[in-house]
Amino acid sequence: MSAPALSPLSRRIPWPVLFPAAVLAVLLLAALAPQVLSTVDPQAMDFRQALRPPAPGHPFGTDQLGRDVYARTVHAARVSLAVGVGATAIGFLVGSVLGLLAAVLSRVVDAVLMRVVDILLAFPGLLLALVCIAVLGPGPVNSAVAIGVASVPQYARLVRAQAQVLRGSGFVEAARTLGQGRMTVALRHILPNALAPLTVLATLGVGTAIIAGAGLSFIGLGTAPPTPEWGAMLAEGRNLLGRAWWVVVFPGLCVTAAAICVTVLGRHWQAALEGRGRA
Amino acid sequence: MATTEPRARQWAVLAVSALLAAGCAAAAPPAAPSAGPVSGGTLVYAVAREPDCLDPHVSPADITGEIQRNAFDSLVAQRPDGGFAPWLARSWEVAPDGRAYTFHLREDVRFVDGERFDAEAVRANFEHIAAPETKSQYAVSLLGPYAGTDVLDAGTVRVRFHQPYVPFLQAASTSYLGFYSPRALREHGDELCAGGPHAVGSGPFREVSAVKGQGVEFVRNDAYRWAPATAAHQGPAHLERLSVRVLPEDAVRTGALGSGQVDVAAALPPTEIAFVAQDPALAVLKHAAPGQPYTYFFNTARQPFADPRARQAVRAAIDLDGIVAGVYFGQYDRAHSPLSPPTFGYDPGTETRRNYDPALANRLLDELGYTGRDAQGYRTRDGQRFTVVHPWSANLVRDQQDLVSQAVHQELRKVGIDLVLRPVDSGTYLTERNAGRYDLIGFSWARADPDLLSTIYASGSQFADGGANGSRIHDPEIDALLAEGRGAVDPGRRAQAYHRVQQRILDETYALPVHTSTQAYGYRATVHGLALDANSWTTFYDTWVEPA
Repeated sequence: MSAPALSPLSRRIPWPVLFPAAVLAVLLLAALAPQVLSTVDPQAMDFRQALRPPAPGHPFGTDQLGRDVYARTVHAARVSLAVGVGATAIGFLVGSVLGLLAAVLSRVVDAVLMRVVDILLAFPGLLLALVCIAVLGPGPVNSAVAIGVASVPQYARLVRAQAQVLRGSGFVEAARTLGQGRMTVALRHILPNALAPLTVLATLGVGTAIIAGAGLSFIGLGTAPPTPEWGAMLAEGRNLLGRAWWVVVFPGLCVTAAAICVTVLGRHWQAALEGRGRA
Repeated sequence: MATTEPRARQWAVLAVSALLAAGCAAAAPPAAPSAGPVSGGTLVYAVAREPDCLDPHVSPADITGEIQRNAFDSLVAQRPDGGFAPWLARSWEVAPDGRAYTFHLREDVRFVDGERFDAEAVRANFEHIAAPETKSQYAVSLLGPYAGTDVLDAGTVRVRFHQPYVPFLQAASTSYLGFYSPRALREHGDELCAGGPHAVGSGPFREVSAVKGQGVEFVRNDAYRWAPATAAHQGPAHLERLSVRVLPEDAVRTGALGSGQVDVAAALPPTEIAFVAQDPALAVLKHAAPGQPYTYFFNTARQPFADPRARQAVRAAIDLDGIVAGVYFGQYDRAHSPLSPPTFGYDPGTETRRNYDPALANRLLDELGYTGRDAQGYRTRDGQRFTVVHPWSANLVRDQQDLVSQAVHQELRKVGIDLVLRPVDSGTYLTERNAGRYDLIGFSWARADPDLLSTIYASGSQFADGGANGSRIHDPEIDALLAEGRGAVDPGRRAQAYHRVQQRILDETYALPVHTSTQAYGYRATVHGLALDANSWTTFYDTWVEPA
């Protein structure tokens, strides 16, 4: 890295962080306040305007039903990002609790929990998510739950490993010697220190979860139409690629951009954290 | 094609368009002047759907019936004018009471395994279809009130029915009532769904392999001498090999046609039809399929659609003319009747009905008590939103019907009705459908006989009974008319009965016809003699390809 060579303490933010952060800021704005970016109704149809290429009135063109692709892409951000963040939050919370319990409770609890996690790990994530959808039924909330559940095992594994390392460290020994209870030690000393690497994993997980959410919508098991969602937009426009590329390219770029930007930031954070760890 | 054209003219138009397509081919520079059919060569046919089961005696799927037409022959062939021509039966007599059909069979027919086709083979096949352990999902309903088959001698067979059953000749002309070698039924009866070498018929092609997710391979049956009288030639087929490939993605299928990887592609998407037609190397064969158009069914067995006013309100709220023209770019016709125009008994009188009237929709909704409005602007009654649940499965959708539903959603939102498009997997869809857990569902059904209406509207044809009564109606008047249509030997009386069924369905707003099922096939200009049967399905017996 050349930037730190110039001035490691410079408050200048390097562009590999600035650029993805800016893109994410725009996508977050679209998710939180879509009306700021587009005043057009994303569901308004006009067959006379069907499949028009990008032009000043419709910057991203129109789809088969004459709906404004720009408005739909902007409004789709909310569901897509919510599924990504929601799924990660579920995986993070449930996984952390399971991992911590396995690490601090008895060997029997550890063995049982970890065998369950092993079984879950044996299935591909998307397959687990599909099983959850089959049980819960489709929908954005269930998509988040399904993808979240599918990601529980990796969080549980990581937290358990971290907690086991920390359990043998000096400050935990000290706390225990001072007579603190098992749960107090776990919550006050082990958990906060185990979480740092976990937040990196979670940030990376958001990108994966956004793609998984779009994937579920693509196969028709995510968001119910006509609510705009990137994956569903890709599915509806996939057969038009040769005739009307704009219907799929813009939502496709958004999924890609969201996933890449979150991942780049996550990696950067990871690098920073590991640097601190070494220092 | 305008829906008002009588059937004969539709076929005339079809023939003309085929000639025009042939003319285009001749005009293309590289095409050699066609000096008549060329024997040999391989034709690759890309289909859009994977057959669930390749046994036509079991599967109700159109795609199974279409693919297996190449391997299986029928007793009779349906002519374009609706009449019937000899095929495996040289001639036949119908008993005056319509309860028995006697067929005189050809004596020179052999299955591809060498077995003879005779009266005993007919009996074995019909008994196989009727046997409960076969679990036939469609062919058994084509046998109607089947009572049994009598072998009178080796070349004569009599099929008996409990009640008069006029649609039997049409049913007998479909590949669902096609004939397996009795040896195949005996020895491989439980493996027939897999198709491939077990699909031993007497057809112009022999099925050599069937691979799930890929397709079905056929080679010519060189012994074939028993083509139906409707065919353009006699003797073995022109093509030496026929390869059916499953390419579910529209863009992939049409792309493969454009690049020459396939010779014929089924189910051209409406957005592509005009482009394929303009390409000098390609041509389009388009035809409105007989049977039931794509239709929305109101679940009359539960609220809100148990009340006819709620059904009328929905019908009046939707500008279906605009939606069909818009979603299909003018390529598909609006449907007005529960039957498609090319079906016998179609009532052109249904076309004068005009239902789009948002003011009426609002008035009916007020009358029903849905006068409140919630935060999102939907109508409410006693705090309950007017919700219409429409389950659909991405796997089962075709012809962009999901887009039609989104357009309908938008129209209903304008009058304050919330159409919930509930995406489910195909298994869940069938469970929910069979249990009646829906307010609105949609499907189409191809069959060249109005008796199809019995499958869809008779009281005894509920989903739980193996039927497809999407509106879940029990209407004695319709039942009586359907029975009359089944039993009426006089074609005029028969058509009259079905006219009244169609009018009754529309009067009661049991269903909402959307668009005619349009079969659009794209093919390379080097392909000649591509024909559609009475169901608008491809037949490749007369087809030949110009040598490269």
